[in-house]
Amino acid sequence: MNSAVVLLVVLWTGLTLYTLFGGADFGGGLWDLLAGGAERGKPQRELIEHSIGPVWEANHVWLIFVITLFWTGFPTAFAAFAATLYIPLTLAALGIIARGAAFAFRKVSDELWQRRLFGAAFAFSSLVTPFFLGTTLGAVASRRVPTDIAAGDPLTSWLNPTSITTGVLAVATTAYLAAVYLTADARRTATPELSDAFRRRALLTGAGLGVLTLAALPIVRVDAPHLFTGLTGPALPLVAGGVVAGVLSMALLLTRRYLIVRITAALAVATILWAWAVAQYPVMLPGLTVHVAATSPAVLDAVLWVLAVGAAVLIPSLIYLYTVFQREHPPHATHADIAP
Amino acid sequence: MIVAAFMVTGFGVAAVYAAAMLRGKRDRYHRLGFLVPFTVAAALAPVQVVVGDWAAHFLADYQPLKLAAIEGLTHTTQGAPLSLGGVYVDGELRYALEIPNALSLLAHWDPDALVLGLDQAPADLRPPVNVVHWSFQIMVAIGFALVALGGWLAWTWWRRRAIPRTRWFLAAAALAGPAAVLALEAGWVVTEVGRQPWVVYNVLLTRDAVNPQPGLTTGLLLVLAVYAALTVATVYVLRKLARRGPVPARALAPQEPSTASPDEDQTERDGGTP
Repeated sequence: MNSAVVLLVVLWTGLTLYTLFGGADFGGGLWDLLAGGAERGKPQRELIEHSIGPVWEANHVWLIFVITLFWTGFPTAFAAFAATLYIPLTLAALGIIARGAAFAFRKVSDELWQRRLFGAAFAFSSLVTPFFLGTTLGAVASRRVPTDIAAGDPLTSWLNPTSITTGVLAVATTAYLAAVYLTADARRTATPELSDAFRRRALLTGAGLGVLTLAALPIVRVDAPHLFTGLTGPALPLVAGGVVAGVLSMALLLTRRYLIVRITAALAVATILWAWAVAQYPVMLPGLTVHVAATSPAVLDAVLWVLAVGAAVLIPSLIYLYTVFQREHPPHATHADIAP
Repeated sequence: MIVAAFMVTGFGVAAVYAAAMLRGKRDRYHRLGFLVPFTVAAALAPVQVVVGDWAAHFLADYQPLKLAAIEGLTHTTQGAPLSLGGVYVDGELRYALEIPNALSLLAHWDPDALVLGLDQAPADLRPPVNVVHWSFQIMVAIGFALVALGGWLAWTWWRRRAIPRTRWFLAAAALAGPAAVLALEAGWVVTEVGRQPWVVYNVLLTRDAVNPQPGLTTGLLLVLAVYAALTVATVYVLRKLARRGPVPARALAPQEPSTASPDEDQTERDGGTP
C-alpha cells in the first residue's frame, strides 16, 4: 500500500467519523424541527441541546479535516470537485455557519419569538446542509464531475437522480443516527417517555433508511452503472455487512439494547460508505485514478507524519471529551450550580 | 499573525473593561478584567514589532514587489530611503517624508544595500501602491501607539503599582481594542493586496485562479447577506447579554452543560410554565 492509498484511507476514515458524529449532530437539529410546539417540544429540545451542546463544534472539525486532506493530498481532484460543485458546497457552508450561530444564539435568548426564530434557523440548516453535502457525493459517484476545472454542469452535476438519492439518504442517515444516539441519552438522563419517543423514531427512520437504500439501487443501476457494477462486485461483502448491521440494529432497538445499537447502527452506516469507496476504487473522477491525482510523494509523506503526530494528541482528547459528557453525572455539574 | 491575534484579543477584552471603568466601575472585578488581558497584549506588542521586522526581511528576499509597494519605491535604489505618508501618483510617491537610507538599513541591515523597486516588474504586474502603502503606515502607526500605551502602564506600575490616574489612559485603552482590529485588518490588506495581481507569487495570477463557472457573483452576494444578518444578530445578542449583568445560567457558552443538574433543570422548566 503506497502513501496515496494510506492517505485515502485516512481521508475516508475522516469522512466516516464526520458522518457518524457530524451526521448525528445534524439529525439532532432535524428532530428539534419536528419536536412540535414550543411547550410540547420543550423536553425534547432540551435533551437534544444537552446532548449535542458539548460536542457540536468538535463534530464539525471532521469536515475541516476531510476538506483539508482532500486538497492537500489530491489537489487536481479537489480543484475539479470544488469548481464544478461550488453551488451545493457554498450552500452547505452557509448552512453550517447559520446552524452554529443560530444554535449559540438560541441558547442565550429568553424571549419566545427569538428562540423560535433562531431555533427555526438551526433546524432548517440542519436539514438542508446534509442534503447538499450528500448531493456532492452523488455527483462524484455518478461520474458527473469531469477532471478539467469547472468542466461539469453547475446545476445538473448535483441535481440528478443519483445526487438527489444520495442527498435524501444523507438526511435520512442523520435522522436515524441521532434518534439511535438520543434513545440512550434519554435513558441516561432518566426520562423514559423521551427514550421511548426516540426509540420509535429510530425504528421508523431505520426502516425508512432501509427502504430508501433498496429504492436507490435501481436508480443507481440506470443513472450510475459503474457504481452499481462496483457495489454488486468487489464491494458486495461490505454491502451485505451493512444490511446485516442494519437489520441487527432494528432487532436491538426492539429489545431495547440502546448502547450496543449505537455501535451496530454506526457500523451499518459506515460499511455502506466504505462500500461506495471500494466500488469506485481506484477511480476518483472519470479518467483520474487515486495514484495520478495524488500530490508528490514528498508532500504525501510529510502529511502522513503530521497526521500521525496530530492523532497522538487529538484521539485521546476526543475520547476524553466524549466520555466526560456521557457520564451519569458530568463533573462540571457544579458549574451550573453557581448560576443564580 | 498568531501574535497579532493574541494582541487583538487582549486589547479587545481590555477595552470593554476600560470603557466600564471610564463610567466609574472601578471595583476589583473591572480592574482585573482590564489588567490581565491588557498586560498580555501589551507584553506582546514589542514582540510583534520584532516579528514584523523579520517579515520585512523575508519580503525583501522573497516578495520584493510587495516591499516596493509598501514603501512606494518606484526605482531599484541603492541606499533606499524610508517613506512616511505621501501619495503615489503617475508612478512616483509624492509629498512623502523621507528618512535617508533607512529602508536599506531595515531590510538588509546595510544603509547602502540595494532595494528592488516596482520597476522590476512590467506595469500590469505591479500591485496598487496607495492601498498597500497606506495600509502599512496605518498598521505600523497603530502598532507603535500600542507599544507606547503598554509602556505607559508599565511605567506607572513600576513607580506606584497602579493604573495611570488620568482618564486619558483609560480612553486610549478603550480605543486600543478597535484600533488593534484595524491594525490587523490593515496588515491583511498589505499581505493580500501587496501580492496582487498574483494569488501565488510568480506562479498563478488571481484572475486565472478564479472559478470559471457562472454565477459566482450571486454566491458572493449571498455570503455577504448571510454574514450581514449574522453580524446584526451577534451584536444584538451580545448587547442583550451585557445588559443582563453578570453570568446568568443561560449565558454559559453553548459547549458548557447548563442543564447538567436535573434539579436545576426542573426549576427552570417549572419557572417557564405559568
